[in-house]
Amino acid sequence: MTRLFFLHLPILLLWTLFKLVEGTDSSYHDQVVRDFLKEDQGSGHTNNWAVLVCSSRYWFNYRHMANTLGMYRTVKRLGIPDSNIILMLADDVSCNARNRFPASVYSNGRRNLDLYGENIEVDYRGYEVTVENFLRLLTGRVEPSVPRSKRLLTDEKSNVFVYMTGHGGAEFLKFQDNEEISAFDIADAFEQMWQKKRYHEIFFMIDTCQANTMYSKFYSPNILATGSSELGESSYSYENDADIGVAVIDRYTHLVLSYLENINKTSRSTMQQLFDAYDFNRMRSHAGVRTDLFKRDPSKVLLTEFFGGIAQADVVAAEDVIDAQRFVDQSSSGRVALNLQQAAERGEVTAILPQGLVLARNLDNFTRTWVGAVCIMVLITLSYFLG
Amino acid sequence: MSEKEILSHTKRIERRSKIITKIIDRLYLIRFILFFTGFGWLILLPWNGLSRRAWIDENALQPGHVNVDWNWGDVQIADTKLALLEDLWNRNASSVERANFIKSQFQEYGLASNTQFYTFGTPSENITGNNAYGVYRAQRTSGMEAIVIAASWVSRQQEGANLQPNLRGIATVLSLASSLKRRPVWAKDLIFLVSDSYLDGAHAWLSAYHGDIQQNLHAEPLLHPEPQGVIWTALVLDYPGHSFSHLGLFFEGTNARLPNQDLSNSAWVISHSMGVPWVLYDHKDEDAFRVPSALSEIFGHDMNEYSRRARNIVRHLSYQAVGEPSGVHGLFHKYRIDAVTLYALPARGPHGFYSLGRVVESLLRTSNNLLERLHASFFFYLFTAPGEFAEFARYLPPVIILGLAVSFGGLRMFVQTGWIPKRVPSTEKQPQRSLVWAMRDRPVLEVACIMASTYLVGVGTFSIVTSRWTWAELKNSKLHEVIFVSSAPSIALLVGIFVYSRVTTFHRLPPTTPALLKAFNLCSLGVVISVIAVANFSLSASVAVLAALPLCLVPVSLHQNHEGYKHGLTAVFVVRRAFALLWLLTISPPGLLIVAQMLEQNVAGSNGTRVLMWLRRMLWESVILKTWFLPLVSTIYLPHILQGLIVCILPL
Repeated sequence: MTRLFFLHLPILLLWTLFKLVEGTDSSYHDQVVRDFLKEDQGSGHTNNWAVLVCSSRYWFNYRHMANTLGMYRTVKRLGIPDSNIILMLADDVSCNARNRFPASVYSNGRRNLDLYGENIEVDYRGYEVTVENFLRLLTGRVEPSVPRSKRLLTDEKSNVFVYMTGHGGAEFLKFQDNEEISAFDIADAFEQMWQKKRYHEIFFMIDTCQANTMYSKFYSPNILATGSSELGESSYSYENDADIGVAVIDRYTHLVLSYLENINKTSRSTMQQLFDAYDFNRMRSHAGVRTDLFKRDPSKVLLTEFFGGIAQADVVAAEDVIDAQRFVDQSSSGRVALNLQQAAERGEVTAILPQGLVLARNLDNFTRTWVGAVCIMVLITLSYFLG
Repeated sequence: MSEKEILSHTKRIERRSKIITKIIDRLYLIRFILFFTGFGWLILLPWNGLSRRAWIDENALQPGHVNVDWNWGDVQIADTKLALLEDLWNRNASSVERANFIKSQFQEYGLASNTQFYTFGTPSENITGNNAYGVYRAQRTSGMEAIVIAASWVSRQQEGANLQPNLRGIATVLSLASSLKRRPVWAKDLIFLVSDSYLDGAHAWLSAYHGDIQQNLHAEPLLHPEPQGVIWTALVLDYPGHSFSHLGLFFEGTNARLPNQDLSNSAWVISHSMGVPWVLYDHKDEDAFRVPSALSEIFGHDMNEYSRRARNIVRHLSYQAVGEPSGVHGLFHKYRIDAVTLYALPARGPHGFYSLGRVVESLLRTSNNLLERLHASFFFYLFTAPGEFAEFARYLPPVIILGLAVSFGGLRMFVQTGWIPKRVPSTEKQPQRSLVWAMRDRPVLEVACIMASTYLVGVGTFSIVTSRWTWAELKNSKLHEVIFVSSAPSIALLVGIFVYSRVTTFHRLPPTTPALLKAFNLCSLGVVISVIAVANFSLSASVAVLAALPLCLVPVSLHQNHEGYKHGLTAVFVVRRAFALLWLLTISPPGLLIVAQMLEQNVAGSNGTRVLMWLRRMLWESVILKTWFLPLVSTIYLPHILQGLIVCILPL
């Protein structure tokens, strides 16, 4: 009995080894892992970006700055890092001489939350906030000298949240009181992004007068859009702070932010639930939603897929990872290495297969067969001697 | 050109001339309609259908959105300062002493401050005074812009010879200086100005601030501190009484300039939000003329409302037509500074320093919000009621229409002078003798000379009016002497032309002279009315109402002395002439003065000093503030009336 056991143990071991090598035909395993990951989320994106734009300047537009900073605080709270947020503020109300509370921006009359705080990164400020810069940012057609913090480094796996606020009208949004961006401009920019594989899905939100006209011209796939008011409607401010002396937040943004305030990173709340929370009585305007370009059902889309920065995993071909690694090693250019390293940080290049499998998968088919054959021969020999 | 084209052109020309003929044939009717519409529209101006509610046009202003910090502590400071000021005023402290006191008060609050001495030269004497000002520099900006908060020592409510001091206004400014500097919210420098006298102090200070050189003014430069920055807005406080019931708005500036309407509207909104009743001028509703209720029933319209609005419009006209500033604020307009006076209507209550301070602080915060000069709202408007105004397009047309009616009359007259009806002797073709129009000479040289002489007389009259002699006579209340002497050149001209036209054999005036003179006179009047209308509606409307009709009605005979013309000197013509002559004499400047004085003595029952005082004021403003009213009246209005009179006295 004991002999029999000792006789078969090596055979068993070798069989296991063989199976291990033989069975790593990758597609099956990848599929299993992919399916497992898919179970959790249907989006299929691996990284989140947010572009938050306040397009109007001047003290009396305090509320637009506060809208944007409120949104900034929320997406940051829900997990999008500063490196993935492009914040555009056309003016600096916190340092305005008329601000009774210097270096602070509040969005409610009780002033219990300073939105400016101590940890804020404004990427485009003051006169840098122009239509041209915004379109260049989206489409990635920037000067080589533009620093990385001012670029939208998205890829085909990026979910991008675009929030805009300012003064607008039918199919335009005013920038800086001297130029306008039209609904067509944004639609074309999104199309360029799509063609350049710069996004996976876009969630576009805009709070301005006649906001819904701004997304009416979109024609690229995978865009979910929402706005604060219909054609011919104004968007109203929500609250005036009598000490600051100006309105501090708009109704629509206030409603959205209030809703998001109850959300955390693990929330299962969906877009549809947010849309259902739109209430004319609170906003005094008819907020709109456009879903025809978006392939999924908003009731199955989690809010955190756009507002959050939940780390998402994906299966990539091992060759890609190795190639990339090799490229990093061989590359004399630090910049490429840096790019790759950051890409890895962002989760764009993700390897989640066990190390052994990765090793096994390193062997090409010929080697794999050869090793298999050797294993079988060893097995036969051993059984002969031991048997 | 093909025959067809020629035909079509011919047809077109025929059609056009037919239309023109039709118009010309009905010109009397058209002119009547124009006059009717013009005067009717003017009468309808107070109708509330022509007014609309005012609104805030500039987004940046945000009036009344901010909490103010003015509190009872600040009121107490104002009360303390008031006691000191009353002491100064009651013991007749000199101008220097008063200015130094204000300066020391500003320094107490840590404001850089100084005094300014000035002298105005007038034909009879020198007017001197001392201003005091303090500057608060905005800490968080570069100080490129400034707001002025001003109060003059003398209130606009000047009661005869006794000057009414504006002590509470000054006390408010002093207390504001201590209160406002505590708030870290200023994006503009604040300049606190306490100007001497009523208007002259602020005028001197502003001239020095802007480096404006005026020949008869010597003002010390503003140094240590040297105020810097462009003044965008200014608020003037006038609080002569013990307490006040309403805040009144005064907004007319020198030479008919008006501040941007946004400023007045902001003040109105803020005053409302603070619970202080708001009126135009010092017009309380209960003081308005009560229209018998039967009238309201007849018109189906609240005639009391009409009467209240009419009162506001007439008051506006009385300032704007003569280019007189209705308060110290009016001096700022010259430098493109939007300014208004907040006048605290003297009453027993219920408002005082507390209300005024709150309104002013809020209004200053609103001005502080400005990012550009006020520009969004109207610069031309007619306030008809508190918070309501008539737009440019609703009040200007009647004057333009009247100007048009006058011009049409002039042009028609000019055409008529060139033609004369002639009897054509009977021929074979035309067996009957008939009238045809023949051209005739239209010599304009004589008319041009007459017109030039009237303008020369105008210049002469102006130099008399502004002479040292007039200044002294008016001071001695010798109104009639002034009227007589200043009319002397006009009378001399009229007599001269009367005699010359009848006596001389040297160069006889051509028969077309009266008609041609009237034609030119009307054309020129039409242009004057239309042109002035754009800059100064009130003056233009006054000229149109006074002179348009009588000058149009001056009778002339067109076809005298021609072959077969029966002399048209009928009794009707003579009566019309006499009537026109009388009317023109009444509306001539001396005639108006006499009529006004008679009305005042007989109807209002006063001793006739108001006309005198008014004339003194006009003269003073013309010399010190350089208003255009006297020059315009002497060199534009008077010559037109003279021309009309000459038409009346020329032989037929």
